Amino acid sequence: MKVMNFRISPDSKYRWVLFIFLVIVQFSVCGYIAWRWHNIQVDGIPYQWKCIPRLEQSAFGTDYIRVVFPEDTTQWLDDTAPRLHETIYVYISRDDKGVIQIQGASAHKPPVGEDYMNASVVGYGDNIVQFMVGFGRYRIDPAKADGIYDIGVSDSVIASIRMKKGEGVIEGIFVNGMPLEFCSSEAEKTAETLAGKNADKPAASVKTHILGSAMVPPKQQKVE
Amino acid sequence: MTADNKKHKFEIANTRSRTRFFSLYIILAVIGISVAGIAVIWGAAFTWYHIPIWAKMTIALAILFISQVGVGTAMFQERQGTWIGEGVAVVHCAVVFISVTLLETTFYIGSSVYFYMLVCALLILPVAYLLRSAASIIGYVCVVLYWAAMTGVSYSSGGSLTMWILLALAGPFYTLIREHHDEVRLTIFSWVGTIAVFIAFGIAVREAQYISFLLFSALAGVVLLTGYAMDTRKAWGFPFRWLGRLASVGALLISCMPAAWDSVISAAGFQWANIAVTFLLLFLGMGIYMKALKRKCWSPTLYALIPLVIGAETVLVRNGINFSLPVIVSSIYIFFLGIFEVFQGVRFGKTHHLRWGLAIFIFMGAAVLVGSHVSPLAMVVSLIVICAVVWQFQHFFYKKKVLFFQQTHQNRRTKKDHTVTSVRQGINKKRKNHHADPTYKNDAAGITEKKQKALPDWMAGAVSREPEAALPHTETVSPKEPAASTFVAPVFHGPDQIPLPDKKIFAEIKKEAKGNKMEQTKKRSEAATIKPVTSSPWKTPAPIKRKKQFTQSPWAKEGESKK
Repeated sequence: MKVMNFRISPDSKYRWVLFIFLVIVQFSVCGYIAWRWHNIQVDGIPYQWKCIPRLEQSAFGTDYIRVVFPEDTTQWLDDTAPRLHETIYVYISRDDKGVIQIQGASAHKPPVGEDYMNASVVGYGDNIVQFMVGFGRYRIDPAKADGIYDIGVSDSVIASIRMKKGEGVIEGIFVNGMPLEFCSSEAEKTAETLAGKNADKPAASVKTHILGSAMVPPKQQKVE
Repeated sequence: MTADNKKHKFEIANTRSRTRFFSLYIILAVIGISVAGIAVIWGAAFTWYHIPIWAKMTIALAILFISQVGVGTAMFQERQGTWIGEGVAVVHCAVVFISVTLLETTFYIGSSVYFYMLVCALLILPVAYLLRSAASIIGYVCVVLYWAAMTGVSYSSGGSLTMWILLALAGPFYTLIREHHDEVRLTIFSWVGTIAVFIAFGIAVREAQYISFLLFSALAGVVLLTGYAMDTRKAWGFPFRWLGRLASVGALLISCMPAAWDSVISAAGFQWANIAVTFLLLFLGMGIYMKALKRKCWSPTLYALIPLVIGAETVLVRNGINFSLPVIVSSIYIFFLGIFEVFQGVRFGKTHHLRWGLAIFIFMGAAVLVGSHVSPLAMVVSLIVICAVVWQFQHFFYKKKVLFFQQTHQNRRTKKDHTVTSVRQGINKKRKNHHADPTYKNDAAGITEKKQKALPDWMAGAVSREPEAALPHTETVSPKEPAASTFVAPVFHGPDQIPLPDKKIFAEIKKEAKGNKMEQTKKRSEAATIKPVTSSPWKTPAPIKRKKQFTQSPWAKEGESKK
């Protein structure tokens, strides 16, 4: 391929320029992956969404749990029906308390100013689309993941999410307002030891201390 | 000599045992490293959560940097297009995938895995070009196809075009390896490329509403031309050529059926994007073919024209201009193709082509029979067959007639003996007849006997000679004998075929060289002792003094006596 006497070929004298360019691009892609994650965490809009955590089983150890969002159906806003596994855009908003409100789904992005989630179609029928979002992982210490077994039907499990340009990052999972990490047996032991040390203090104050000021969960919401 | 042989055998045995020993060590080392790697990965997986994020990122970037250094070193050592280059490129590809996977799982935002795979494929493509690695290109093509199959991008025109553009990015690799005359990689790439194109169409078929025999024929043309272009020194493309021929004729045969065109008419969403891409591929194949191989022209041209013919027919049908013409044109074309193949087989003795031509006719017959309703193919074929038979009969009778007239005309001319040539021809013919016809011989013998009786004795000897000897030699122009060629074909030996001289000869040569050197040094030292050089060699040489020789004129003493 010749472009204005500049031969773009891996054999030409410009091959080292091409190689250096490749090195820069490869590092840039790696850097971008990390930066995007950080940017969503810092700059994303916070949402709270009802979820069900599931424990991943694998031959190798895993440092995350699978998060399923039960509110996965909404109205299809387009005329043409979506295909299976097609990428769609779920229009969302948040109420005063920060809980996610799903408006509908479409094959096109919403107008500027409105928020959305990237999702793939799982099922479609009667103008109702079932979707699945990509951000379904929450990183947790494997030793503290056994708190999932204690979650009951009546418990309220909320995921705190940050959203930006359709992509999302799960910041934390709260079971009845308490972080999932503190629901584990290890956390209970720690709490007991701390309670033993501070025997003269009331137990409620100990629990508040474990949660910490930065991890105050949202208030209990009645999610249907 | 026997001792040398023994030594040589011992050396061979020694090297063999050493090789076995090393190969065993290499196998053990590979197994050990693999087990250690698995153990490290296992251990890291269980403690992965406790490794800080910055450390994970550093690990990913560090292994990527090491592989990049490897690529740079391979480029610096000019390892492009070698097995080492291939290995380095494959390792780099694996490392790119590992690094991106590490970062993707660490900084998880829920993007599609297939998207990351595509990103990795695009990142490894330049390395495939820089190191001329066929394995990396194969990896790239596989990833693109997997991405297209899993995401279903070929459903939309834009997605389909993206898939084709991504596949086309691997295209210039063909030119690159062709420039370097790397026949093996060229063949591998051509095979992989063609199979990839077929898989891509398979993916498109799964998603698209309609893929016609037009695409099939175009692909067949591409395969055929690729097969021809592949044959640089060896017939690597032989299966490709025949596969292309088979598919082309298959597509043309389908286009002879009216039912096939019904589906073209009824198709709602016509995949023009895929068709456009296929035709681009076809023209690309034509370009490659024209550049690579121009000698064989007719056969590839005829087959490459099939998609263009079907394309024009499709345009006619889709626009509602004509519905019967496509079927008739296709029928005529397939018939012509069959005749061409049979002609190839009969005229040039190509058995495969003869069989193929006959097979085309059998296919046509089967298509006519299998077709459930009245097809114009039957009408057209029968018409062409009748025309061909009539034409053959006409041609046969005309030829016979012409031959008859020519013979009669020639007979008349030989009787008149008009020209020297005809006379000679007649004499030659007579001579031949003399040899061939024994009755004539007997008659001639009888005549000579009669003559001998009638003639006097002194003439009997002359008449009794052989008729050939009696007749004067009529050939006035004798062809010049070709000069015997003194050319001897050169014999080329590879470096391995040239036998090395014995060690004894080496020792003798060394001795001689040593003796010569000693003599030379002796001579030099002697010369140095006799005449030391005192003057500069760049000094202007002293003029040579010559003795004056006076010459006397021959007339110098003239007149002395006249005093």
